[in-house]
Amino acid sequence: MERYTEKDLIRIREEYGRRLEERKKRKIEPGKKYILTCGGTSCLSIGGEKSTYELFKKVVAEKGIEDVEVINVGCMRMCSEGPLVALYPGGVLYTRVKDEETVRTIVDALKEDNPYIDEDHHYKDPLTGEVIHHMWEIPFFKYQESIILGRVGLIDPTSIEEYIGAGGYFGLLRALRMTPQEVIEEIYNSGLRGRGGAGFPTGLKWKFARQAQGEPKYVIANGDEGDPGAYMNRAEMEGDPFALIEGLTIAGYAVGASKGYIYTRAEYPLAAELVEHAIQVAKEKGLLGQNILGTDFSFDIEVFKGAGAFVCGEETALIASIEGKAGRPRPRPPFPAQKGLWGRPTVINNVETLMNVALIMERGAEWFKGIGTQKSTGTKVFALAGSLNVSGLVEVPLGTPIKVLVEDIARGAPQGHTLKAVQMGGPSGGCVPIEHFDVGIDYESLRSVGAIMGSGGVIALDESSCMVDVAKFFIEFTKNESCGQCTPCRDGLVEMYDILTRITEGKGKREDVEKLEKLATVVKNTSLCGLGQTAPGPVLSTLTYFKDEYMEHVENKRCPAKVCLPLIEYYILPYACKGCTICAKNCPVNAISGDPGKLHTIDPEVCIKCGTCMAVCPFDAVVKKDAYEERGELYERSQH
Amino acid sequence: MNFMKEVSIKINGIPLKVPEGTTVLDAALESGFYIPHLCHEKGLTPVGVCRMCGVKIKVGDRWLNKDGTDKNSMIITACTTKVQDGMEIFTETPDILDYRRQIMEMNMVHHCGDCIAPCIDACPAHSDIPTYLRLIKEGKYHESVAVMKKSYILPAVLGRVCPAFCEMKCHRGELEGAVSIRQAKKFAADWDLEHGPWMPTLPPLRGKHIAVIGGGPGGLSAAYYLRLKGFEVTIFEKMPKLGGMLRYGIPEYRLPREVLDKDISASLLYGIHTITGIEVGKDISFDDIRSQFDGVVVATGAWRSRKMNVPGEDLPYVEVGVDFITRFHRGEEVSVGKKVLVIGGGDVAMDVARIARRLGADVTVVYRRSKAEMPAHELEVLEAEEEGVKFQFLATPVAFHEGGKVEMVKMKLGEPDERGRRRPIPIEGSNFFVEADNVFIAIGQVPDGTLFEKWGLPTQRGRAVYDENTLQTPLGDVFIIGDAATGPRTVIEAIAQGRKAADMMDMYHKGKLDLVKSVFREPWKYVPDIYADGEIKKLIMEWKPYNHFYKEGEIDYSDIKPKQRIPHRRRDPEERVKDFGEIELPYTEEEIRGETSRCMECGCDAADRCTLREYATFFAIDYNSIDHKPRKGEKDTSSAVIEIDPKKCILCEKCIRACEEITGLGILTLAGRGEDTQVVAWMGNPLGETACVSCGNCLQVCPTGAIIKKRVDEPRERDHRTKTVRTTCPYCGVGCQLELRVQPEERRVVEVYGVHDDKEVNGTIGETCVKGRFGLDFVNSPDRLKKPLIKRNGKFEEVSWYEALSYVAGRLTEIKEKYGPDAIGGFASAKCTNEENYLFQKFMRAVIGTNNVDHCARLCHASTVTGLARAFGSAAMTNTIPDLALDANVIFVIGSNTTETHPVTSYYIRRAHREGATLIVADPRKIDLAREANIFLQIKPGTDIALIGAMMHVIIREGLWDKEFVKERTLGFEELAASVKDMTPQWAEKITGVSASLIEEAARTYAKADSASIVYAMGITQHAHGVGNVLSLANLAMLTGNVGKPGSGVNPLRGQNNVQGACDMAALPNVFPGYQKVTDPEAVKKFMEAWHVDYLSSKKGLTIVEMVHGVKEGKIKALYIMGENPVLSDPNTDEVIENLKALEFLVVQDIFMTETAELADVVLPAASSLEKEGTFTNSDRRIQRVRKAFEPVGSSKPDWVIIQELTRYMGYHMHYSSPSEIMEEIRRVAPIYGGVTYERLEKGEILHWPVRDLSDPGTPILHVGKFAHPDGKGRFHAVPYQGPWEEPDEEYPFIMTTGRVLEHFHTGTMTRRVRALNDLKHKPFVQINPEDAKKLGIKDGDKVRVSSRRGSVEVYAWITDVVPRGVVFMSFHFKEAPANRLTPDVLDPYAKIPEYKVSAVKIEKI
Repeated sequence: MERYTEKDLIRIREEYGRRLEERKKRKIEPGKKYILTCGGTSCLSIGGEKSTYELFKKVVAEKGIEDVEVINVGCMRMCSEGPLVALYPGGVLYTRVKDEETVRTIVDALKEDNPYIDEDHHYKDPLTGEVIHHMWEIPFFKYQESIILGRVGLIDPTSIEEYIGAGGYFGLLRALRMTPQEVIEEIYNSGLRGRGGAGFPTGLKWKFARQAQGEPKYVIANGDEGDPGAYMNRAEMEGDPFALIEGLTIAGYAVGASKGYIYTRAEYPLAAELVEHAIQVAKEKGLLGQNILGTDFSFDIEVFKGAGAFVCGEETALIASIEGKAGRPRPRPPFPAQKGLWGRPTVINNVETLMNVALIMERGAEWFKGIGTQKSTGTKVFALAGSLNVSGLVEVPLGTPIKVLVEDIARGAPQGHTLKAVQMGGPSGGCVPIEHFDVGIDYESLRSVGAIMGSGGVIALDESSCMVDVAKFFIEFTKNESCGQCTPCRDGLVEMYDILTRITEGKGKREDVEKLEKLATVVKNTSLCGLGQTAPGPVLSTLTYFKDEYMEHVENKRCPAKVCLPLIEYYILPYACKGCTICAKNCPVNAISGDPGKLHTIDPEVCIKCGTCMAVCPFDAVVKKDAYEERGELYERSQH
Repeated sequence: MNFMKEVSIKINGIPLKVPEGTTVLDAALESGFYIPHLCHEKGLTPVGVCRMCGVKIKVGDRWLNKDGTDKNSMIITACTTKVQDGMEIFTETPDILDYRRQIMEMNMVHHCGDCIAPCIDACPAHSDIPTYLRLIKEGKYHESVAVMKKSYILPAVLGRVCPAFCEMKCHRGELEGAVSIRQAKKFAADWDLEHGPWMPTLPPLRGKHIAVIGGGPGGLSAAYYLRLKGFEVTIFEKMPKLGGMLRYGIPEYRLPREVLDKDISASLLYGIHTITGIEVGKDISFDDIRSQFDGVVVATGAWRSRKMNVPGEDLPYVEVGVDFITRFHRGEEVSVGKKVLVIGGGDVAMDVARIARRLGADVTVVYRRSKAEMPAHELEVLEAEEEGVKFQFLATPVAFHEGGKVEMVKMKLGEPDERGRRRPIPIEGSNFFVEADNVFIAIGQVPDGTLFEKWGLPTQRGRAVYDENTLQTPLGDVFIIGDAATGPRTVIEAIAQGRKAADMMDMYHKGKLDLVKSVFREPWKYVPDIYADGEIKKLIMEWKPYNHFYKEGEIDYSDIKPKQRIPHRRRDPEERVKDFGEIELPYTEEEIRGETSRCMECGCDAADRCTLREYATFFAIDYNSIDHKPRKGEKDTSSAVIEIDPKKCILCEKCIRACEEITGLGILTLAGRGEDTQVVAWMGNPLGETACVSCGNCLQVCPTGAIIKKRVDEPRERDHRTKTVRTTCPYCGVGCQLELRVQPEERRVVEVYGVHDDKEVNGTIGETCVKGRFGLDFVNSPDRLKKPLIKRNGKFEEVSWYEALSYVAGRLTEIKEKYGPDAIGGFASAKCTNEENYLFQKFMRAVIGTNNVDHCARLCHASTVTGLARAFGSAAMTNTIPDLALDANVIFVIGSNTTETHPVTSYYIRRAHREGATLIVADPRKIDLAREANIFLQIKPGTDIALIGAMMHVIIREGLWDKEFVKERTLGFEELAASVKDMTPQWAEKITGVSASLIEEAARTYAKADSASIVYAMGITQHAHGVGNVLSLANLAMLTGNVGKPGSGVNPLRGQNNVQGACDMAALPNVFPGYQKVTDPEAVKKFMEAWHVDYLSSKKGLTIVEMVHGVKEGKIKALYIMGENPVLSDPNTDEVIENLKALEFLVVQDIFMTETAELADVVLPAASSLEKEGTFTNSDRRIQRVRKAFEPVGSSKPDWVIIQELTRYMGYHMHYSSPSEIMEEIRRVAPIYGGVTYERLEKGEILHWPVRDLSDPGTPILHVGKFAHPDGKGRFHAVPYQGPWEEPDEEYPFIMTTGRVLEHFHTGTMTRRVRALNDLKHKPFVQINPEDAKKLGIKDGDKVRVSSRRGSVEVYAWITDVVPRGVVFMSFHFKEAPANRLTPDVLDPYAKIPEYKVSAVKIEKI
């Protein structure tokens, strides 16, 4: 077993650093080629049976090409276009590389100076139609600033040498030369705030834990990423696991802990595997375990896989889970920094927070403060999803306006759609309407418009989204994930869900909207933990910005977005129907009748509103209309 | 422990000083600021889940509630927040109140079930219908009337005229029809009147006199209930007789006047005066009344008839219906013509019509709507029809013309009016004419508003102005009730209001009515006030409670046996129109009792103590605005004693914490997420199939009815029929304080709560074990002895006390004269009180003249008494029960299966262990504590001396002993050191079977602890070398300096409730009370003086086993046994029986016909500990009160009374009027009790003896500073190794050890007679190791024969690894298989205790 010394680190950094520099060259050059295949879970899941990495390995071996090295790297971010493959030098990006044929085409193209292949496998800008081959020219990447994700998608996550080559472990080296207090000071000065969403100053949290009475102390990386659609932590752990380990080790040193946990979920097998591998390697190299880098400091890390309860992302529930109890929160204070795991002082940081730590220690607080805004320093990774042309992971400095994210980077809504809001901060976040899109994304600004940073999920919503339905969707999620301990969260959310259901079914009354708002306030202000306290967010923010949609539902029994099924009917436009019978043939419940060549009609009593007819109609003759168009009819029906 | 540091806080602006470290909630509650809370319980870890205790807190300028004062501020839970200097706490801000209401509403959505039976809620007087129906079912009619009269008077009247709102809501109505509640009431009330009516006990008059104007049902009711509140009352009645509309309105065929008269006279209590024929406003002015009385209740009814306002209404043939009826009932001459028209559709119209019918007229009722809208009771209409009354619907008179010509118009029905009845509209041009001789108008009455105006009562639109909640008028001292207030309503409503007025008048005179008014209006604003005043709380819970009811279809009726409702039986219509005799025919007693058995006793057992129901009431939750959704999960009735209903659970987790933190088990947990969350027993199993120990600590803390005591063949008892009694548990020596809720008349223990005494120990909820909580029903066993018995010709005959006692006195005197006093022996009892034991030994010593007095301590802790007296100079637990656990760093439990024998002590041990104390357990069996222990020493039975000796060997060898303590405070160390020199761990390993290294570890752990306690019980004492065992433990403790400080000591856990006290009182052959030796001439002299006798024996008497043996030897001729059962409890049963049979005379004084009593010549029935006063001294020397809950059963008497009376027959006069007088004598003669008085105990003082004088606070820890030997030094004793008396051999290859099980006690005399406990364990058993069982071919549950050299018994095999190979275990509770038939009667030479713990046995399958 070879234990690294400082000298080794410097040597490896020089050696591998050079190779990385070479690999990253923007100009296409003859000579050695590097094929980087995205090994992130997203790309793996859209790919075929064999991963692109395996395909490339196979094809390259078959063809006996020697100066091509295939490297499996972490997430390459533009997930909607995956599986992604990059060619270096040059940074040529191939998209949708799913089959062996495409792989062969790419490998064949490598021989030429011109490695481009057909349009379908390169980025084509949805707004301009222009095909862009090189990554740095693609708007999705152009507007990003890669700090945390700097190595993700570029280095081999299983190689500690590549990590060191990219600057890894120099942060720890520097930290170990400082006193723990100085390290805390440095982190505090950097202005780093918790990336789990609440934005508590990391340095302060460490300081409290350092000062707290009780031995031993613990540090925990919170990688229990439970927001639907969010996978920043996963990508970080999969793409750069050593950075997390290094960050956690520094945290351990700073607060005086000798044991750390990385809490992730059983649904992230790859992330857990790669982190465990990295821990193993780091231990072998003397960067973890006894006497790290020859100092007195000893530190060990264990990976803990949670069973996937959303509430376990809450610190105290997470602690209970590690202790072997059911993951249920307890009231704070005492805060974990005072009494945490096994009753001892414990620091819990989000994975992404810790990803920043090694960088700050390597490059200094001043450097970090130069990024982002004065109160929100550094960058943040977001998972973009929803009604967008391009989606995936993006990293931007804090303070970047929402507009940059959804319009410049993600290229706006697909053709024919108009954005109306983004839902930020996961299931307990808020909806920011389009009129606030120039708000900069930082902790305070988001809160001022009723949203939260959360862990970084961003879902873009267009006119086809019903805001009541959106709120209902999130409340359904949080009510199911409520741990069931405290009354307002457990029962209040159910009551809110019932009201929302009533409203979306057209059975709501004006008082229901008032009651909903009242309940939301009570749940927010009286719940025991963060889950309940933030769960009403989607309701409160939609009530702030989209109350008219609620009122349309309750007063006119209308869903403006035509999403709420009980309030809509499918209808065949007489002038557009050609009587082709396709809709009738496809209707699963035989609700459509009409002779061939003649107008077809839908029987609303039979129709289950599955939408098949609308999807199959070649003439766009099937449309949704409001079920209660006239007040008279409305009254009649509500009597049933 | 005592951090008396204080911090300054402000609650709602009021500055306070509270102890540091307490929570905001506790600080507030203790300072009298009530903050609602559902999940908080003192003694349990706060979890802050119910969110009800949310408050706002400011420290300096900073709000802890994030956003501070604005309406979005987050709450802070008071239960989880510790006080901090300078905190300003706000508990009642509007937003907080609003949050609490909202949270309560959320709780109520999921909390489903019947709070009380729906009939109770439907009854305007809220009478406890299920209870009186049950009493009727049981044939207890007076008692049922007593229940009725809690809520209303005139039950016989109501049994006839009440519309029975109750029946309309009866759940039985969902099946074959509602229970005939009214008929049942009528039957019971008639029976009651016939047999001399039940009358209430009256409180003394309090000097206030109230005037009631109006002697109708409302006025009579007000008078009755006012009198019950201590008011003197005068009723002013305008009419010649009392009764109001009952007399002058309701026709006789519905209400015979004889019944009315009787019922009224039964409600006229002493102190109620009546003046009839006096009209207020005419004969006496209203103002005069006001000035002469301390309050007025106006109950003048509604006698004024409405007018039709049509032409001709004044014509002579047109009369107001009410006037007609009144005239008729006053006995005035009335006559009607042939054809009579009655206008109206209400009850009065029916009455008029039916009276006119009976006067021979052809009657037609004219009503302007259709039949469906008629306000009259359905039955009335039906009966009128049956009697030939005709109806003309949809018509109304428009004019009365001369000569009996009535002009009418036809009507049609239009839109519904505000009451939902469709409005009648005249059809134009449909006029028609009808001829009539008489027309009676009965379209409704109103109270006489002009009268009120004349009196000066404020009115509005002709109606009196009053507050609906309190019935108070703006005049303050004047209340208005009944029809006078509400307009015409039912009798029961008037009566209910009469009672309410009495309640409110009481409040008015206490100066609380204004608060009550506010509380009723907006209760959520006054929650702290409500909790500060029990009366107000009771009032709102009585008159405006929140009640939830099952909706139709929600109840599972599959268990209900179908039974038809009795038919409504009435006289034949043709017959009944001929006279005014009562229409309804009587029912037989059998029919009525059968009918009442249809009552399903709906409601929740917890209704009277449900915090949730209280909060729902006080936060004014609107039942109807809630969309109720029951929580998932089915009722769990699998346990014999506990029932869990998830539909009532609010998930406060208190039960979970009680189970885990108090009992130390963690059987109950939370499962599921979101709305599916529920409390489940371990792994979701039925509770009865888990390791639940049935302690019921969960149900004690449950704030709702989700966890309740399971009732089997027991009725529900509501609070109004019960009382609470605090007493000391009659089972083991822990001496738990219990609060019993009992029904005294029916002698029923309804519920038992542990009482929390945090003066002694913090962090408890007042816990009990299964026996204390569910095991007190033995007092009502049908087997109880109720009369003295004398055996004649081999058969017991019941005799009088005179006969029994004179016979006993005669025989004893005879034997004493013939053989000398020492031929008589007495067994006192560790189950009897101190006072009784004192009297018993006084009787034996001073009257009989012998020291032959002993009790069962001989069989359990004689070794302790001898051993500890030698070592320390005093023989009792050195420390208190909480202290030995909670203050210790190491707890060494040896020879005690604490979780089963002293459960509550084990709770403390478990808690201490959980909180970090190290637990060492030594036992032959892998008992529950062993499974949790840090170090478990599984020794071979009877090898304790080797184990302890080896531990001391290690401690001395390694220099771990406390040199200073040994030098300063002890004598004999050298001898000790020499005696253990060769007791190496290796040597001990061979003997004990425990590895040498484990012995070393245990020795080091014990010796190195700052404070280490030793806890032991009969595993140490019940050996032929029991004293050696005890001395070894004393040596170990002194060697390490673990005596005389908190968390240390040598602590024998005493078995019986008062074994310590019986010893203290000298139910021992060698000492006088307070351990003064009988061989000491000074002591003899002192007691001769104290007891006024000129002779006391100074010879040591015989012990229990010696007395029994003495029979064979001819030394003992007569035994007097009080409360002991030697046949089962003493070793070698068969021989015991032979000896007892050989006696010339045997007296047994007991509560049951025990196996011993059956052999007696005379059996004297004693009262149980729930039937007498006295004191017990528990295991840790604490003297505690025993209080009477019931009268002694039959003609039984408390033991002290029996002995006192017997002594009189023997010429020695004892004359104590109460046990407290006996205690006065005890404290004069026994110095260790010198300061014990009932007065101090009643004040709640915690007294552990020695209590030398009245200013001595007692001695929780013995031997602080010096030992009890005269020189103050402890004594080491060299104890050579001695093993068991009997070793296994080829014929008897197993070692049998004996002991107890959790659910049973001693010889099972009490516990085997308790349904719940017997359900839990009912079969005698022998525990066998699985490997042994396999070899013997025995399966779990097989019947086996266990035999020793002395006998054999048949029991059931229980295959378990609790026992190691070669060892079997039996308990001695089962008389059908007495374990002591097998045990040897070999004794310890010093303590004379038998070796129960080791016998060689063989086992055969049968």
